[in-house]
Amino acid sequence: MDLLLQLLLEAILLGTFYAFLSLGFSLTWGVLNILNLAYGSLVVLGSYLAYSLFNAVGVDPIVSLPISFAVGFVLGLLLQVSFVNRVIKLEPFMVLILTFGLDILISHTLNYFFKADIRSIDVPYAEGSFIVGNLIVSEVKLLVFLLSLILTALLFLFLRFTWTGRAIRAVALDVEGARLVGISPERVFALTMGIGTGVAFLSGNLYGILQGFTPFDGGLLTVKAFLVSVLGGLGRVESALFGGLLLGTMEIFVSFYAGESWKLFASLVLMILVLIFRPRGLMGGKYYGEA
Amino acid sequence: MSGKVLDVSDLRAGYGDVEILRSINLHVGDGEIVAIFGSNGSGKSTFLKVVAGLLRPWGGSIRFMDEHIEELSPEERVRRGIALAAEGRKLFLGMSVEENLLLGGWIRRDRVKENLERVYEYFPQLREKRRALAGDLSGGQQQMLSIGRALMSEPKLLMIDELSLGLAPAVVDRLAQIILSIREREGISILVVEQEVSLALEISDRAYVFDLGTIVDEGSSEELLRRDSIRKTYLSLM
Ligand SMILES: Nc1ncnc2c1ncn2[C@@H]1O[C@H](COP(=O)(O)OP(=O)(O)O)[C@@H](O)[C@H]1O
Ligand SMILES: [Mg+2]
Repeated sequence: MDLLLQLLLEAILLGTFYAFLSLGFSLTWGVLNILNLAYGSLVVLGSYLAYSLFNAVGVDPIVSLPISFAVGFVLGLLLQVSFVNRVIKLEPFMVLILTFGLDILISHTLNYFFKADIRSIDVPYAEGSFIVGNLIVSEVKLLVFLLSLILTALLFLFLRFTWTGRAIRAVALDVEGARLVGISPERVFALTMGIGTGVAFLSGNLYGILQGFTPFDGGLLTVKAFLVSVLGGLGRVESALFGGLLLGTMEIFVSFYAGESWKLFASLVLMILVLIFRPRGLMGGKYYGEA
Repeated sequence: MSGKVLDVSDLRAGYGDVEILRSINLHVGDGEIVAIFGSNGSGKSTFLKVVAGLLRPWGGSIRFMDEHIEELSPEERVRRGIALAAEGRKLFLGMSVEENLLLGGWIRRDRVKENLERVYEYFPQLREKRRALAGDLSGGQQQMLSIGRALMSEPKLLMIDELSLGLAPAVVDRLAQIILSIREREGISILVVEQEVSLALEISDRAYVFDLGTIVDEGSSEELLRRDSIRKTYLSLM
């Protein structure tokens, strides 16, 4: 019983981080209709940014969160304006190729500068763990969980209640309808790419706090973001939470009972099952427009 | 101002390399209600799309409040005062009625409260349904929402595509009443595409008849109602 509770706790802590991680990916998917294969590498880029800020300048990894978002946001805008806007008019396949190329570019550039050694950001005030009842709570996991939860809530409120958030959802639902009320979809695309990449960098910052990382973690993180999006159903913050918790639960239980190496395999099997039987996801939400 | 809110001359447009509109000359005066009717596929919706900026013209000129707008984006045209309640309505079906209206006020965010109140006065049903999803509304309510959303931008020219299509007669009567009172109270110009010719001529001051992408007839609505050719072809009256 205690073991079960412990595993559930781990699942919730990890799953909430996965939920936040996936939001940037599913937002650009829902609004721009592109699968960003470079997403995971952008996350890792965020990890190295936070790592460098911490080690070179001594910026606390929580203080660096706004910086991470800002840098990611600007990078996303630039990417959209310089590449994606041009290629998006071509076939979706070309966008896949573009983001795939970007993924390789980022991971190899990181490898060139930082080498493949595992790096980590050590938060001095959250190194240990404490005990509640019979449960062991790791401070660093709890910290990342709380930050993920807060950031997810902020994104939810932004999309739901601000004018800009509303415009993003409008474009996701009907591009021409958005034009008819005076919204420029091109601007919303750029903004969404900015926010999506900002969220990738924030996730990277958290990822760096949570565990060690290397330049080549991106591919796996993209798969996770994709899984959460597909499991939950694309296009709602609530769906991402659901998908994240599901993936977290599965990973924790599978690695405990079957072994670490079965984790990815089980995820992929689950994803294939969902794509076959519930292609709109288990929650069935559709894009970021739905109320 | 010339007295013309919209002044289109020699307009040509099409899709790909298929020409649909050939030399359209049409104007809408200040405070006027102008109707367009004509057979299916004659280019009425295409015309409204070109005026709204969703489709680029091949040639000719479009002047709005005496300024050329051919090169402007749809967004900029909304800002200048052109609103389109489009064919297929283009509502945000997954959002609530109120959110659709709020988005209609995207370019008039400073006055969104007043405008919302104004739209709810025209369409009390929308106020009752304000939390419902746009996708769950009846056809008539969706048409009201589409017109209401267009009004939220405080247009000088309101364009409505297929006012009565698919709606029950009682709903159509109400909508016609509301259109007239909108003109009365807002003093705006209205360009309406309406297949039901008797309705089109009843609510409008002037009308144009489209056929195969050209204007084959035009005149004051009263005069057109009396004209034999119109009565025979479109009103099935002898
Ligand atoms: N998006 C489009 N692409 C290609 N052809 C179109 C498109 N929309 C309309 N058409 C064609 O243009 C012609 C005029 O259509 P439309 O303007 O919708 O007519 P109406 O509104 O008068 O019924 C029709 O022949 C139609 O098939
Ligand atoms: Mg039409």
